[in-house]
Amino acid sequence: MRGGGASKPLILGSGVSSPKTYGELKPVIFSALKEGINRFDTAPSYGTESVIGEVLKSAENELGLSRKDYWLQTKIDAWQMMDGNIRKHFDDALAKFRTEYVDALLVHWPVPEKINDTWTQIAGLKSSGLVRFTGICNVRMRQLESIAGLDEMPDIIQIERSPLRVCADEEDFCRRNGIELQAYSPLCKMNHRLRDSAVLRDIAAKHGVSIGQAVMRWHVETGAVPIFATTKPERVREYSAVTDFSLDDADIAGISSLDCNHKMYLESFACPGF
Amino acid sequence: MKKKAAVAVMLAVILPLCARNGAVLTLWGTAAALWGVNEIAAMRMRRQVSPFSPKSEIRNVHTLIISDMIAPEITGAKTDFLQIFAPGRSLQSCYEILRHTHSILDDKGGACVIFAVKEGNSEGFSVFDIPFFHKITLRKHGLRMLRRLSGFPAFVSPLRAFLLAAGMKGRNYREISALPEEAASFCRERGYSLRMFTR
Repeated sequence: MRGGGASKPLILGSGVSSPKTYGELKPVIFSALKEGINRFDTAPSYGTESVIGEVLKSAENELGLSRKDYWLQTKIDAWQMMDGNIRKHFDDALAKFRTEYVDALLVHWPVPEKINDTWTQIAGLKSSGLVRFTGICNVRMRQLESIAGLDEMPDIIQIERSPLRVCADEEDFCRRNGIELQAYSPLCKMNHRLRDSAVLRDIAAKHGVSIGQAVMRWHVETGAVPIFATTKPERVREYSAVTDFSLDDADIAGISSLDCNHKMYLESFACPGF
Repeated sequence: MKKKAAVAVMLAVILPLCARNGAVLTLWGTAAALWGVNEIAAMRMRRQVSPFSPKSEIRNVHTLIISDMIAPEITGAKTDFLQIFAPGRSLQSCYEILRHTHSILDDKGGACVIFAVKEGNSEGFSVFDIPFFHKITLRKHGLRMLRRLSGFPAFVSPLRAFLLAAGMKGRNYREISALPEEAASFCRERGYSLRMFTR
């Protein structure tokens, strides 16, 4: 599951840590495209749909890209689920992106009262060709077990994942069911337990890379696609180098051993009844 | 700084008036006391919500106490617990807060939820519940007006705000075996145990 061209296994996000204006976002997105990262993630609540659409149109003109050369994914937020008219909100998103389809549409939070109705409507959008792939964010095994019984299985699961929260069961579920696992907050905002970890420092030094690069590579090697956000084009270049080296089994086990089930975002606080 | 300057200007105007007129003194004295209580109560509310921020390091808690003003030691919780408390909290409010906050519990098994409310206080929400609620919950229960007032607990609910500001916890509680069905089912599905205290 990739955007067109030679995409690297990374997604540029546009959530909390991302720039929000055209002037700030353009160099970051252009840097990503030049480095071979052509997948972009957003959501209505991030407030970046319009500006991403605008920057990608500029990229089409200035870098000679076509729509098929990049991957655009957005989400249906909880308030949109409560409103119920998913098609209307999706049409609004298309208008903001100035495109005729999105590559992936994800349910942002699995609000229990509305997930079934929302999922049916999203599946309908996929059938009509307006959405290529579907997905659900912020789910744990409890929700994945009920998902397994759905007629239309998601193509993508997006969760908060980092070495501090390995989510081995979820990773295993996705691998067994051919679902792409996307990891947001892949560095846990460089939590002190990662930044000061002797394990990570040693692995990074062994491969001559930064701690951030080692963690990104760990995601890739454990079957996840990390979604990162940054304000700096040079950071995009740094992370794009994750395809230039490999971790061995001991490195992966060492990084996975940092797991302490720490998450930044509490699912139930953003999704009552989670 | 703006707030401090406004208070300084107000005091400069009010104090000379108070010195000449007892009624003005009483009026402004009451307002100042309410303001003080409001600040302390609002601070206590903010502190209770802060563990749920993405920046907080408090995660994988063993026991979550959602209650009125029960002293936590009555429940047997000694360490590794988090208490969300407000005077006069209802059972309905405890359950709704649980629906919003349970992800802070250790989901690997063995976590415990404790409700403690006054007997018969089964329904209703207060200004002290609002900071825990998502927008969709505010809409579902028609609490958007209360949301606007949530920064002024002492003016909306002066007695409860005073009790919260004073931080007095009660010990006259007993554990009961009859659990609220919906909350018990919610906890069971997620692998938590539920205990209930009343007074």
